[in-house]
Formats: sequence, structure tokens, C-alpha cells
Amino acid sequence: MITGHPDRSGRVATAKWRDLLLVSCGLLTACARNTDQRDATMYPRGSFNWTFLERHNEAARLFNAFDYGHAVLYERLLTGDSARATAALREDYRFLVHDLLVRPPRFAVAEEAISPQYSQLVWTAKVMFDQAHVLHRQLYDVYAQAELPLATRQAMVERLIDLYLLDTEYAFTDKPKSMALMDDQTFSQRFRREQPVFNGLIWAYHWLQVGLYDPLISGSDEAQQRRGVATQLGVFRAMLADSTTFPTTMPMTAEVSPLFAAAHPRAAAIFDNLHMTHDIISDLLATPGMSWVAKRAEILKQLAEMRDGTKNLMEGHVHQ
Amino acid sequence: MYLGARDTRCNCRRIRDVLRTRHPSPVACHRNVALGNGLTPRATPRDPLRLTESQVVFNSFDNGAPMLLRTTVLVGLLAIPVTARAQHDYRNLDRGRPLATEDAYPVEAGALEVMIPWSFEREAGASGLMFEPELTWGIIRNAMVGLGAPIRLGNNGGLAGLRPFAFYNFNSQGRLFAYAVRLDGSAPVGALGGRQSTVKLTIILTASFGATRIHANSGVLLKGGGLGPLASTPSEGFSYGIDYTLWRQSAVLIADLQRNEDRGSQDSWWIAGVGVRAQVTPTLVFDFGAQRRLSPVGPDLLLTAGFTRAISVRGGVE
Repeated sequence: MITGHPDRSGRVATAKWRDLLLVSCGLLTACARNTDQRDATMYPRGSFNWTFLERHNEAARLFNAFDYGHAVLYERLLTGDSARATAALREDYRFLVHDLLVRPPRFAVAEEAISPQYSQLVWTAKVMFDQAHVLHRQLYDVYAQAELPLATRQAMVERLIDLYLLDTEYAFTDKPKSMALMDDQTFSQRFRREQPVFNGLIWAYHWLQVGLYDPLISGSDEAQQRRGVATQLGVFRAMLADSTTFPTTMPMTAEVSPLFAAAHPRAAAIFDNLHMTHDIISDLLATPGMSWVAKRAEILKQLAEMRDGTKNLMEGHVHQ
Repeated sequence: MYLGARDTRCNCRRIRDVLRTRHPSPVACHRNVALGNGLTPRATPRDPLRLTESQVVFNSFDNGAPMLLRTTVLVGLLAIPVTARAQHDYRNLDRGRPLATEDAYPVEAGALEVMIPWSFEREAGASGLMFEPELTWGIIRNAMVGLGAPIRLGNNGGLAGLRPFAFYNFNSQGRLFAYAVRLDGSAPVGALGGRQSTVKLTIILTASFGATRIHANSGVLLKGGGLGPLASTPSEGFSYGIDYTLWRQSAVLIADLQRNEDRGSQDSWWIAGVGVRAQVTPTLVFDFGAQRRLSPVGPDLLLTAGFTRAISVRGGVE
């Protein structure tokens, strides 16, 4: 690779060894087990992008704080035992409720910086979550364009769902998966038993995430949408002020945003599957006595299950 | 300067040694290199050897000002936020934006990045301005291709070659680090494009530790050299960088250390730099960097500043 210069053979040799070492390290890493492809993908173009951020800035920024909340939770559960995780999450909860959710970041949080170990362990999960969150955000963007006819927006949303589902490697299935996957596996419900308040906060996030669709759909103009979004934000803020009012079950899209679920049953199933998977991973990470390798293997198995629309579906294929 | 990072600077000492008899002052030497003649003068109207000493004016602020104004207007227009996104783009260290060291990750598949950077360099009392636009396209997952067209501003300025490149990332970081390779080329196009094409190979590693990441880049020139575009291209180089993410501010602070050496002249030089990248809008990143030589050879001061705008070219919905 390097052509040696007659009077510099020593330095060239050093460079050769340096490059050889880097190549070897790289190949070793690339071939090593437990490494995933990065697979970062830009999301679909469209003039609607960022409308929600522009018109409903407070709500849009909250989702950046939610991303932090998920990331820090997974990192704590993965890297600490139960006692340490409990203590750390208590501090994180305070930070989230009294600081970050009050003054959310302007832009999406780089979750790798918050949860490096978790991201390295199961990058696939991070990509799946990212893509589903992007779908969430794009659907808000479309529906926030109140100047467009509702039918047009609904058609755009369906097209976005089609595009999302094309990526079968990372897309949650649009068939509603059985709640038993979340509630009845050997590791299930551990997190919500051990960390009920933090779990309630996560469910409050998910409530707001699906709870913004109906005000956007039913608002006939931007002002009405603003009022509807403000109402939902008020409910969410009230939950934060009193943790006993957090949801006690996982919020289902059809219950929280019935208009949206009726118009886009595939999206409702995708988001319910997404939110179930968040809980499943929390439970797995909170499970003691499992090695990281075993946790990774089990998480990947659960992710495959959540991409599979042929088995373990809800009765009648409709979430109740 | 890390190999290929900003290979638009002169290898002063090497050229100075060769040209000492013709150009006694280091600045004159530097001028020749900056004007693209390297070791072999080009037979063009801009050939500095055909100009008087007073005509061979290194690109100064005065000379570059009108072009700078035009460039600024262009940048202003291009920098208007559009409906695309890359909210984490501030964390994606691109080569030369703001420092030489880059990370092992490409842009997202389906993303088009437009980079609009400037640089100002002062060395041995002379100064110069460069405008270095670059397009990068995430052509498939984990891979990107791009094309740069550096332009030296000022009366004796011009296009300093076309710089295509390809980049492939092998993995996200698992237990060890992320690994990528990059192939850079330069075509002898433009008044300062040199007379020979060059090809460089670079290996890039990135390891993350939460908000802190470290990077190692190592490159080697596979083809070409002294007759490459604008300035001579170092034969080998490596750099180490460290960055720290201010996640709440959507900004990253960067520092790096670069070492380059030229096989022909046996010169080597060290450069240290610090910089910042910050997300300005969901689609726009601003970067700024300052670098200085740690060895007798190299820039007294190199400032870089620019914008990177991300545009989605992935199939969409209108």
C-alpha cells in the first residue's frame, strides 16, 4: 500500500504497521459478534416536515425530552443493579419532571450520548424505535397542516405508513400484537412493579404521544388545533404535578385517539406495538441474573416478534 | 493537516527547500504552492513564474473581499431552512468541518448534505481565503459519496481540482469501536487543479463513551503527489480527535491533533485544533474551528467556518 522511500524505510515501515494495525482492528470489530450495522436512514421528504415543530413548538419539544427519558432509563436498568438503578432513576425522575420537561431541548437528543452501553448492546432496537418515532413526528407534521383538506392529509398519512412498512428490517408490524407479549412472559411486568412511578411517567409520555392526534384531526384550523393541543398538554402537565394520576395501564391508541385509530388502524397498531416494545425492553433490562449477551439475544428475539405480523396477534386483530 | 482533510495547503518546507534558489523568501515559496505550481510550474497564464514578484500576490483579504461577499450571499440563500432534517447532524464530524478528524459514520441513507465552508489561513506573514463547497449523498445505508470543489478566492484564485470521495462504514460501535474506510480522489480540473490526479485511502475508527467520543484517522496516498491540485498532498497522515457532546444545547466541542508527512521531502508537521459544531435549525449545522502548527512547518493560524445543510432526497409524500 505504501511505497517506501529509499532513505525513509524506517518511517514507512512504521506507517505500514500502524495502518495494518488499524485495518486489523477494524476488521476484527466489523466481524465481531454483537456488532450491528448503523443503518441510519433519512426520513421521507415532504413539504409538511417540521410543521408541527413550527406551529406547536412546546409539544414538539417535549418529545425531545421523552427521548432522553427513554434513553436514560434503559442505560440505568442495563448498567445498574436494582438498588443502584432505583436510586439513579429517582434522581433522573426529578431531573425530568422539574427541569427537562419544563425546558425541553430545542432539537432531538442524541440518545447514544445518554445511553452508550444500551445503544452498543442493541443498536437494532434503537433504529426500530427511531424510525417509529420519526413516523410519529411526520404524522403530526401532516396533520398540523390544517390548511389542507382532511382527506388529503389522511391520504398523505397512509402513504407515509406505506413507506415506513417498506423497511421490513426495522418496521414494527401494522398488525396488533397480543398484549400477552407485554404482560405474560417470564420477565414481564418487573419494571412496572419495581419502578411504578417511572413506569407511570413513561406511560404518560405514550399517552401524550398518541393523544395529540385527535386534536390535530378535529381542529378545523390552526387556532383550533392549538387549543386542542394546549388542552392535551394541560392534562399531561397535571399528570406530572401529581404522579398518582399517571396512567395505570398502557395507553392504547384506540382509547386515547379514537378518530386517529379509526382513520389509520395500521398506524394505531404500529404505535401500540412500539409502546409495548418499550415496556418489554424495560422489563428485560430490569431482569436480574441475565448476562448482557443473554439480554441482547432476548431483546433481538422480541424485536423480531414485533416485526412479525403473522403470529401472536390480538383476537380479531383489533386492539380493545 | 491530516491527510486529505484540507489538502489545499502548501507543504512549505519541502517547496521552500526546492525553490530556495529561485525564491529566497518563505512567503514567495508559499505563494508558488498556493498558486498550484508545486514542484513543477504549470504553463498557464497564471503561472507565477511568468509574473513579477509584485504580481504574485498571495490571496489576501483585500483581494478576496468581493468574492467573499458573493460567497456570503450564496451561503445566505442556501442556508435558509427547508423541510428536511438531520437534528443530530451536529454530531456527525465531517472531514474539515471544522477540524481534520472525522468520525466513522456517514450521513443517513437518502440524505443530501450541502456544505458551504470557508477557511482563512495565515502562514509566514501571508494569508489566504478558500471557499470549499461540497456535496455529500447517503447513497445507500452506511455509505456515502461526495464531491468537493475547493476554490481559492482572490485575484490569483480559481478552482483547485474536483474532489470525489466514497465512504463506507462497517458497523455501529459494538464492544470495541466503529470502523470505516474512505477513498478520496482529486482530478486536475481548474486553474489550481494541478497536473496529476491523486488517490488516497483513509481508515477511520470511532469509539463512544457516552457524551465523549474519540476518533482515529489514518491515511495514505496511493497515487499522485507533488503534482496534485493546489498544494502538494501529504503522503501519509494520521490524526486523533476527541469530542464532547452538549446534548441539551445540540452542540459538540472538538479537539484534535494531526501529523502529516511527505514522503518525498521527508517533511513532517504537527497541527492542533479546536472547534465546535452546533445545530442551528433542524436542517442546518454551523461549525467553527481554529488550528495552529506545533512544528516549524504548518499554518500559524487556520480558521474554518461553515454551514452544513441536510436535505432529504428519499422518496417522499407531497
